[in-house]
Amino acid sequence: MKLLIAEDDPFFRRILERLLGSEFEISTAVDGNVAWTMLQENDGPRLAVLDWVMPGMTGPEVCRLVRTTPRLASAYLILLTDKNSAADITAGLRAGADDYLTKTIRPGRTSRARRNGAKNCRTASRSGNPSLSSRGCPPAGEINTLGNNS
Amino acid sequence: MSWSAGSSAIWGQVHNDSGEKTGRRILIAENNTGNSILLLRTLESLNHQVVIASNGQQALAEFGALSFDLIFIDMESPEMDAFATIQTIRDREKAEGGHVPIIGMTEHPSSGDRELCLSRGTDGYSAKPVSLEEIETFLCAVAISEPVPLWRRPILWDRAKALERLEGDEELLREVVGIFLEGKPKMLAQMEQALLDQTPKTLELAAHGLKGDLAYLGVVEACETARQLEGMGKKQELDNAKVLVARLRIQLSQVDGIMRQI
Repeated sequence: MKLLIAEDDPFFRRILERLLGSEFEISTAVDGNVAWTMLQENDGPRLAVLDWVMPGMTGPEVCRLVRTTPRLASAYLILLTDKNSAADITAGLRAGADDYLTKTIRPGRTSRARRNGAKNCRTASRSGNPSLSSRGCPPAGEINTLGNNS
Repeated sequence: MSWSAGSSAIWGQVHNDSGEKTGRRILIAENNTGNSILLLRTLESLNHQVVIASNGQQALAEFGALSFDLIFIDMESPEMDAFATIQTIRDREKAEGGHVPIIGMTEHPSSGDRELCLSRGTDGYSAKPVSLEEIETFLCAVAISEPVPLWRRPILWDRAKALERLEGDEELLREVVGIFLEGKPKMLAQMEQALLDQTPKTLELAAHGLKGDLAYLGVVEACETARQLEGMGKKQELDNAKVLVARLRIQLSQVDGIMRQI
């Protein structure tokens, strides 16, 4: 299964590649515009970890574009962020992210994220209203605990 | 108190009302008398204790005998042999711990001087004569609120925390530390350029990136400095950013030495 890691910082890109590389076919982007281009490709990744702050479009901006593109309705988007406030996280989810990881990524917790992400990406409807509630997403809190427990 | 070229001497020892020494202890490693005195007078006027060494051997002897908060070193004179002198200081620090901020100085600055100095183990660079503003920047950068010399600071890098985050994966830790060390000079250079160009957004983004890495790695103090710089960039308030960037460079140099030992 293809997974896009959109992160301009080579430090976190490498950590994610290493932690997720054994289970996914990883592609990487170093800015939001390239990430958006890759997500639009016909056989492009439908599972993506998007950094919140990166050159070009931000993670939430990419989320918004994906959510207004019906043929990408099945995409499962995880925002990567160092923002911890409820307001920030809510803003990210409202932009269309399915969940988020904070930048205190830990291998064990990331594995739960990838399981949930892959599962939901596979089972998500490829048509219809791409709202959070209609795509069979888990409660946001399930994966949200990934970073906050650390 | 007198001073003559070719000998080292403690200058400008300042005492407060209770007779205790105040100010920073600073080593000027400089062969040119005129430059030494100019810098000395300025530092003295700011109430710092200054030691002058006029060649590399003296500088190393002083470094071995006293603890310093800051060293200014002439990068050009053969007597100073700055590259070798700095290397010896850094090697000693590697063995004994600590990291004294070193500022390289050149008389005839060319475009690559700064990068050359930084690549040879200095924490900052200044063309001669060092201006009062630059001195204040460097001193503010080393000034930390607690009365503890920099070399005695508590844990600079919480390696155990970083390793715990990576669930004990030493290999991955080594790898990401390598990525961090490789990317660090570029991020610092971006911040310094942002100040020259007055582009707060660039400062904000570079500081943000660095902050994330430092937080993950458990480099608490430098992370806090990066966080403040990010805030300044965000608010477009760059007035005090120069001092903080200089401080960040020093903090990262200190951490660099420790990280390279793994």
